[in-house]
This record gives sequence, C-alpha cells and structure tokens, in this order.
Amino acid sequence: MAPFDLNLARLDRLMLRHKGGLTGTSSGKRLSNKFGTSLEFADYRPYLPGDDIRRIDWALYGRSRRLYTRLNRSELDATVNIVIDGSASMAWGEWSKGRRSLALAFALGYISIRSYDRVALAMGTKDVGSFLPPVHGRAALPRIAGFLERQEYGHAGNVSSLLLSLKKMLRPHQFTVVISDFLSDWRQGLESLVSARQQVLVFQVISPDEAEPQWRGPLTLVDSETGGRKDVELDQFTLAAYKQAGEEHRREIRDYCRSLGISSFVYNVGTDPVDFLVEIAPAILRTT
Amino acid sequence: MELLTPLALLTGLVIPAIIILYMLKKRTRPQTVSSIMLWQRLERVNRPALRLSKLLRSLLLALQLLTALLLVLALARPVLNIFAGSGETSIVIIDTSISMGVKDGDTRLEQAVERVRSRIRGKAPGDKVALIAMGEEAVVLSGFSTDSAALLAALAQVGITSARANPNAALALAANMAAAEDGATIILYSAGCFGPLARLPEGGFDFIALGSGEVENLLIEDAVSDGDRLYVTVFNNGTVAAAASIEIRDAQGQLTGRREVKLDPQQRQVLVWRNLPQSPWISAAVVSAGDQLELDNIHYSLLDQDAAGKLLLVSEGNLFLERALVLYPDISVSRVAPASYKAAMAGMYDYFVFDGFLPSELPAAPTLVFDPPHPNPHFGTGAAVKIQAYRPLSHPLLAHADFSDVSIGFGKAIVGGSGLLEFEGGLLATAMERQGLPLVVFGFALQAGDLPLRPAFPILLRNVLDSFTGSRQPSTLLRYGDLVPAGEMAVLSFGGDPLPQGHRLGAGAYILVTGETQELILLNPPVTTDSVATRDILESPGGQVKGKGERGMPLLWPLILSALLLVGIEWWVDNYGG
Repeated sequence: MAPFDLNLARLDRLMLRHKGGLTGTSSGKRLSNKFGTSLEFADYRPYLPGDDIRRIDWALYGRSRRLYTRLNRSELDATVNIVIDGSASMAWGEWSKGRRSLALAFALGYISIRSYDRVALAMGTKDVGSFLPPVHGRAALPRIAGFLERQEYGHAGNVSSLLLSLKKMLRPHQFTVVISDFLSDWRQGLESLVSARQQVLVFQVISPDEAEPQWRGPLTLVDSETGGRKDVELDQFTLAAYKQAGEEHRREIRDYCRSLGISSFVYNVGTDPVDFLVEIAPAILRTT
Repeated sequence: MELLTPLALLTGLVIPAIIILYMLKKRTRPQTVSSIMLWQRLERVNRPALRLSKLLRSLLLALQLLTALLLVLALARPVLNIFAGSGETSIVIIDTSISMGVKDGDTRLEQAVERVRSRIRGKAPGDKVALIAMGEEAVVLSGFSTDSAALLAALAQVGITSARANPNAALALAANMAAAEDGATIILYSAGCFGPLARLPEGGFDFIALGSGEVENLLIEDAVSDGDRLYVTVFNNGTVAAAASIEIRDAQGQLTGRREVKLDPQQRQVLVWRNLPQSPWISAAVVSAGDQLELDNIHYSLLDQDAAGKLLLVSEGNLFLERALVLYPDISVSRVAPASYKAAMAGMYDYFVFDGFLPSELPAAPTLVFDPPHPNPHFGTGAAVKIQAYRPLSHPLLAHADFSDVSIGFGKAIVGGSGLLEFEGGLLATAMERQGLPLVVFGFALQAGDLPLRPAFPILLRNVLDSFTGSRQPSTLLRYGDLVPAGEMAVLSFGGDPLPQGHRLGAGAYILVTGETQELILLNPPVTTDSVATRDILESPGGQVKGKGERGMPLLWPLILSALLLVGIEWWVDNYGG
C-alpha cells in the first residue's frame, strides 16, 4: 500500500506547470530559456572555432555558403518547496486537516519526483521546525514519506512568520507550495514569497466540520491553539452568519493571491487528495 | 366568559418563572474549535442574521409564555357564557339536596353557585332574576330583581339543607312566579338525583346537569346506641365499590375505635362497638381519601340513652308518621309491620304507635293509635263514615294546634276518654287512660285527610309525645343548615364558645341556651340512600328533558389544542427556525 493510502498511479503523467525562468542544478525535463543539449531547437549562431561540428547545420550551409551552428534549449530540473502549517488548528476536526495535508504534500512531492524535479519539505508553526533539503529521484520518495510521517502538529501558529523564516532557505525561480488553514496572519508571508521570486501555489485547507458545524445551542467555543473562549448561541441564523464569515475569509485569500499572481485553491479534507489534484490539474498541472 | 375553577389562575405564577429562567444566563457547554477567529467576526460579517437570531429567541419566549398562558386559562376551565346579558327574565332554581355536596373538583353546589354568580354579574341591567333553593321544601331566596348586589347576597345564603330535593314543589313555585312575568325562563341547576317530575313547567325550561355519573361515596346512615353497644350503619350510595375506615371518637375527639369496611354500590353494613367510653355523645366518621361526598361522612349520637325512650311504630308504612316521629332526637324510633309484631315486643319499648292496627293485647306503655280496627277488644269504635264537619275540643293535647284548615274525609267514632275532636257521630279522637298509662286514639287514618300537610300535625304529635314522656323533648328548633337565630336563645359550640348570629350550623354538637336552661343538641347532616350519581335526563309524563352539561361554550379543549399547536410551532422554531 502506498503511503497515506493514496492511489498514486493516477498522478504518474502529471507535473507542475511552470511559468518560465526556472533555475535548476541538474538536467531535468523542464525546458529553460538557456541554451543546452535538448532536442528543442532554439536559434542559430555563426560557427566559431571549437564548436562541435556535429551541430553545424549543413543544409543551411548549402543555401547560404556560411557555417552556422544550431543552438538547442537546455532542460533543467525544478525545485519544489512544500511548506506545511504545523499549528494545532491543523490537527482539529473529525477529518483531520493535518493528516490530509501531509497526504496532499506527499502527492505533490510524488508528482514532482516523477517529473525529475527536486522536492524540499518544511513544516513549522511560527518558524520552520523541520526541514528536508531538496531531494530528487525515485529513491527519494521513501525519505519524503518518512519525513512526513514523523511530523506532529501543536502550539499556536503564524503563517506569516513561518513563511518569512522559510524565505532565507529559498532560491529564486523555484516552486513554493503553501498548505495551511490560514487561520492566523498570512498576508506578509505570501508577499515575502513573491518578493523571493517564487512561483507560489496556495492550498487553503478546511475540514467539513469547519465548513458546516453540526453543534447547536448555547456553546462556549474554545480555540484549539490559544485556548481563547467565545460564547455563542448557535442556531440557524448564527450558523448562516458563520458560514458567511468563512466564505468571506476564503474570498479574501483568493483575491489577495490573485493580486500577487498566486494560484490558490481550497482543499476540503473530506475529499481524497488524489481526486482533488486530478480535479484541479487543468489549472496548475500538465501532462508530461 | 366565566371561569369554573378561578383558583387555577394561581398557576399563572409559572409565567414570571419562565421569564426569570430566560433572564438567567444559559449554561453553555464547551466545544473546541480549530480557531475562534471566524466566530469573532460574526457581528461584523452578518449583523442582520444575528438580529434575526435574537428575535427568534424572543419569539421562542413569547411562544412559551403564550403556551403557559393558554394552559393556565385551560386549567381555570373558562366557559363562554353566550346567553349572558340577553335581556331575558329567568328563575334560577338551585338544588340544595345532599347530592349537590358531591365533589367533582368543586362541589356541585359550588359549581352551581359560581355559574349563577357569573350569570348575575353578566346579566344586562334590565334583566330580572329570581332565585329558589330546592330542598325538600322550595324556598324563595329572592323574588324577581334587577339588583345584582341583592341577588348575589341572596345567593350567598345557599347551602345544603336537605337529604332529598323536591323538584315538583320548586317547579310549581317557579311556574307560579313565571306566570307573573311573560317569557320568564326557568333554569334548574341540579344533579338530577330525584324521581320523575310530576309535570314539566310551561314555557322556557333549562336543566343544567351538574357533576358526573361516577361517584364514590360511603355514608353513615345511622349511629344508634342502646347504652351498651353502638350500632353504626354504613351505606354505599355511590356507583363504585368503596373502601374506608370507620372511626369512632368521643366528645373530646379521642379515637375509641376503628374498623375497615368495603362496600359495593347500594350495599349496607352494620358495625357494632362495645365497651363504649364515658362520653355524652360519640361521633362515627367515614375516613376515605376517595370519598366524594364529605358532608354525610359523619354522624353524631347521644350515648346516654337512659333518659331517652324507645318507640315502636307498628304500621304498614306511613311516611308522614315516620318523618314526624324522627323529629324527636331523644326518642329512638323503630318500625315493624303489623304482621311482624309480637307480644314479646311489648316489654322492649317505652312507647307504641299503632297505625291501622291493634294487637290482641295492648302493651303496658303509653300508646298512640291512629285508625283503630273496628271492632277491637280494647275500646269501643263505630263504623267508618264520611265526616261532614268536626270541631276541636279544648284539651291540653291540642295546645297551639290550629285545626281551622284541616280537613278529614272519613273516620270512626271512638267511645270513651276525654275528647279531642268531635264530629256528628261522636268523638273522633280521645285521650284515655288504661292501667294508669295514657292511650290516645284518633279514629281516622292520616291519609284520610290533610292533617299531615298542616302545621297542626307536628304540634299535635309533639304534645302527645310530651305527655307520654312527661317532659319536653329535646329542642327541634335547630336543624342542620339553619342560621343561628337572633333573640333570647344562644347557641354555643360544645366547647362553650358562643356562635355569632347568622352563623350556619353544620353537623356537630352544640349547646342551646334558653334562659336558665342548657340543652345539648346534636346536628347530623342530611343523608340519603338514593344514588347521588348525576342523572342528566329528567323524566316526566310530558317527555324528557336532557340536561345541558354547560350553559355556554366550554373553552377547555380549544385552549388545550391551541397550546399544543403553539408547542408544535415552538418546537419547529427551536429546531428549524433557530
């Protein structure tokens, strides 16, 4: 059985879609704007002594009587940084957001490894508590799974400070995937990722219990992170107001991400992560 | 609208209790959530929804208050009096027999009085109402009056006074009154515990049936002491089998005996106690939680029987004599049929009354004879003849007895003795002496004239019995249900406390003070062995009259159904609306 009970075979032909300008350290499957050795034609330039004569375009020489060397695009790998909010609120609910978030991270990691990309993982509450440096190759999948299986949620979190602490570990033109419930300050953190020239993907995680609470009557709500309390008389109308507040919250995140050029998605943990990724594939994934 | 049980309005105290409970802070239960961040934004995000939520909670409170109000009103049993104030003239007859003491919630009499009171209060100013109390006699409490205050004052005098009701007398009286007022309606409030009516009144007549058909009641029919033993007769005149304790107490209220009885309907049981306490009188009482008629649960009886006499009435059955003789509480009256009379009984009784019969040997005791056989071996008589005219003679036994309105149809002459009444054939009644003992003979049957219906009869009988006993019998001036009279007489409780004038005398022991003399008087409630279950159909030769359960529209069920509907709405609002 695959880690997190995922049907990973459905993800085999997918890879994260990049917007160009990626930097990499090894050859991969992603065409870069640099000249390299792939089969993708890029340009011609006049032959210079020392050029590989196998790259001379003899057909063009026959027409122009000048020697030109064919230039091809280079293929690089990408680095995908997956950061998971490790605050206590992520572990709440009948459908644990935390467990599903780890499964989603593994599924994204699997897609990236299959695409010859490098995958780095980070998790923390107010700063990066656990970090897996970039790994690549199919042999890295067990390391990724092992890293995720060891993670635990707890303490109060702050998405902004977590992302700010992550920033110094990032290099420009990388993917950064943020998985969080965003139930704390988050704007500054997303801005910092954009300023670090990251291609950012945001997954806002919610649980069915949060989207549609089933309790009724007079309640004292206790914050799972801070222990803060609020008394409410939960009836249909209060519930409607709460649902509207939740909708408002999601809309704020979506609009803000859109303004920063960030793709954002709401992931209800009642859905299988693979099903979810296949569903949103047209927006952020492409077939290899 | 009138309320049949207005005291139930006290349960309305639950309404402020509900409000107080709403004002108290609700006990909340803790519920852990991922974050309260979104919950803290509710006010900002959706204020109208929260306002609606508070409004619904207010609606819940309003619904609960309304439900409680409807239930309180339902408990008070409101009746919409749709006839009140319709400009009619009415004669209200209220049954005051013992059957009206049965409790169906309140007693039937209390229910009747409450309804009549509401009727009087709700009548139009010009409406005339007359009030009649229907006991064994019909008593006009108030003639036609438009004065509500006077009518209410007259209504306050109503109390249970009789063992049985005499509807014929009351309806005849009402019919006479109605004849003077065109269109007067006669309204009878009763449980219908009497026989068929002689006739129905002409014109408007309503019968308001009170009570229900199921009654549990045991009564003390009689308690008699012969000096050594006490005989207590317990009777079940209810409709269901009943069990109770019968308790015997002395004048100080000390319990001296207790027995358990269980009787089926119309069943009688005689209990005997020996070793009676030294007490001037004793009381026997039914003690039962389920008994619906309390009035007849007690009976007082003198224990000192030495001064009292025992009288044997030998008759085939003469209601007039029986009823007149039992008016003398110190004389214990027994009756046997002539065929059952034995010579041996002569030594067992102090006095004898022979009605239409004489034994072969007269007992050696004062004897009163009505309608002696002709001929007989004891004194001379003539054959029965039609009496054209007669006249009373001057005799002590006729003191205060007015014979001017007494008619006698047939009689026989009596030979001997000093005459009391004289007719063309000789003496119609005489007072003789036989072996030094008085023998008073009336040569006619009581049924042969209207003497039993005239005031002269009880006076005559008392004079005769006084002459037999040689002393005055205990006073019969006071009866159960009477008001303490004004004048020289004073009535004290057995403890010696004077009772105020106008106080209604219930069952108990009293001391009647007349001048220098004091007399112990025991008043017992009226009892009847007839069923006290409600009969809501009056029979008469002219047809039946069906009793109306309520005069007006009962609102009990509409209120209860409305309350249930509100409970449903409240449940819906609580579960779906809010």
